[in-house]
Amino acid sequence: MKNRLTVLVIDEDKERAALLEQALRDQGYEVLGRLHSTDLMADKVDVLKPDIIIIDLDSPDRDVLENMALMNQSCPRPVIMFAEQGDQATIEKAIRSGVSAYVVDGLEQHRIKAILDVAIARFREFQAIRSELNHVHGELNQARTELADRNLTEKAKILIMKHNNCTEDKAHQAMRKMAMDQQKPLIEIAKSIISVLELLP
Amino acid sequence: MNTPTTSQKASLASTFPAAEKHALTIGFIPLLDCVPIIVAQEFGFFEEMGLDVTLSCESSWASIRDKVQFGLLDAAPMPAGIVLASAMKLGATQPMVTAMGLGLNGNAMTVSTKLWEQLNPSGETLTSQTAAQALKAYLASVEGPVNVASVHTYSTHHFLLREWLTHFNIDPDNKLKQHVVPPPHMIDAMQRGVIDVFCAGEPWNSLAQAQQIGHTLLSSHQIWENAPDKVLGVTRRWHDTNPASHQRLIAALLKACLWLDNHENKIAGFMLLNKLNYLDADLSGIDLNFGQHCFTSPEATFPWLSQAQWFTEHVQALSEKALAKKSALLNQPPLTETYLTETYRTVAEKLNINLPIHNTKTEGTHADSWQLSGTIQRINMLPDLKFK
Repeated sequence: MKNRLTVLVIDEDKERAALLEQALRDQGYEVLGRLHSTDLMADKVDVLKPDIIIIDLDSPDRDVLENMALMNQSCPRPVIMFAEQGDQATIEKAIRSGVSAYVVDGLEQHRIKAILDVAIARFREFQAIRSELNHVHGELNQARTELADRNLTEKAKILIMKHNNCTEDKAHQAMRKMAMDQQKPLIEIAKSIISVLELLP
Repeated sequence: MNTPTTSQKASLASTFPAAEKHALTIGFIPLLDCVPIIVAQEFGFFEEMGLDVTLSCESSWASIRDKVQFGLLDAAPMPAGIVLASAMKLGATQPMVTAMGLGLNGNAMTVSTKLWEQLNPSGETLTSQTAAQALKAYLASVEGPVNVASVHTYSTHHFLLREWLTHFNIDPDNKLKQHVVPPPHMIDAMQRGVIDVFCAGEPWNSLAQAQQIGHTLLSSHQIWENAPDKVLGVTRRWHDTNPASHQRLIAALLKACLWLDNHENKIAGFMLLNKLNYLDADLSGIDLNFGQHCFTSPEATFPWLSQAQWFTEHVQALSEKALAKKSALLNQPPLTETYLTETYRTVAEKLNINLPIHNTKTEGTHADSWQLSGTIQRINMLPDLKFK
């Protein structure tokens, strides 16, 4: 095993990837590259031969790496595979932080842990920044109300579909007719349908 | 009518032991075949069973598996191959189990419009045999590889693709380069010429054709009519800790499948996926019946051991290939440890579902509908012929 571990970072979030790359370099790792979603992911991994790949747990490209690990013995394997042999807690913490990793066979547990810790810290830092941003964006509330109204209409429609065992179109027509007959907005009709039909067992 | 009556509703939940865990998170990948989960949620079937379910949209099967393994998800529909592979410790450390199938059919094979014109210039209706002959002739005439994409190594359509190629004497790994591409990237990758063929669940095949980027070569039911696909996966540990929650979950999903077992309802269910933002794709211009999804019980929902055997053989064949004959490494537990037929029976009985007498059936040989002995009456089974 080489002394200096080589790492490949795959993350759609460019800022987070940059932050992680810097943190890894500061710790003395050699970062082979930062990839965003790419068609040639499998070929790139083949050429770069990283010791460890850090990838966003929710990246759709994980199934690409998965295929490499399952079909090619020399490729990095999902870190979850090592959970039973060693540090289950760190791996669980990684997954809870949205970090997934693929490591080559024979890499020692403490080296895996050290690198996972760096990634976990950076991902968490980013998570915190993001939730703060969401908090600040109060103007989103307006959009949320509109969405809630739409969801109520859909919910009412589903209740009718379920109750009358009818299609969505028929349920929608029924609601529109009620709205016209009662001269009320659709959202009001939806609310009263929900209050009535939800009472039924 | 399939919708249960009020008295059944009130009594069904009370026939189950109290749920060990009420608040459950279920993962799903946005495909048409995730519809039972969505219907169970939106129609309140989970709630009726005393479960408070949160649905979580996931972006890869690997993510679903990891989150189920570490308890971030309680359960998820997944390709049966992933569940059976976990029992052999392939790609997982925690063995997973299933007590319920979540539908038949729903997949297809799409080729780029360019390749379609090469394979079928006169635009004939293809069978699995004529399509194979055309592909074989094409492969003989070209140098370079034809790039073929599936969505996961252990996805059902990857197995069907390999079985079809092998059956018609085409080497799946000669001149065909096998890739994995996430479903939402398939059409884009085909448009840019990165892949020539893809195997995926609906609606991706229909969408590729509607956008004139690809053309369906074969639907999966031409390779194996009414083939099984997704199952409800949980870890063995979760099942052991939450047996009553598991039963209640299955009951709610069986109710959803009963509701979906009718053409109009099924199409209405698919449209809901889009309307309620579970599936980000325009379904308006496509034939939602193309995938021929089937949610009939017990046929499409029973965990048939004979199907577990088929998936297992494919997982084994692939890993033997990968491990280069180190097949001794594979520790395969009995199928009954992974496919929990008794759990299904316990739940389905309460919903008056006619159950098969045996846990296995003959697979892939019936050209027409056929019958099987059932606990209530004879079960009318759908054709299940391979290579039509």
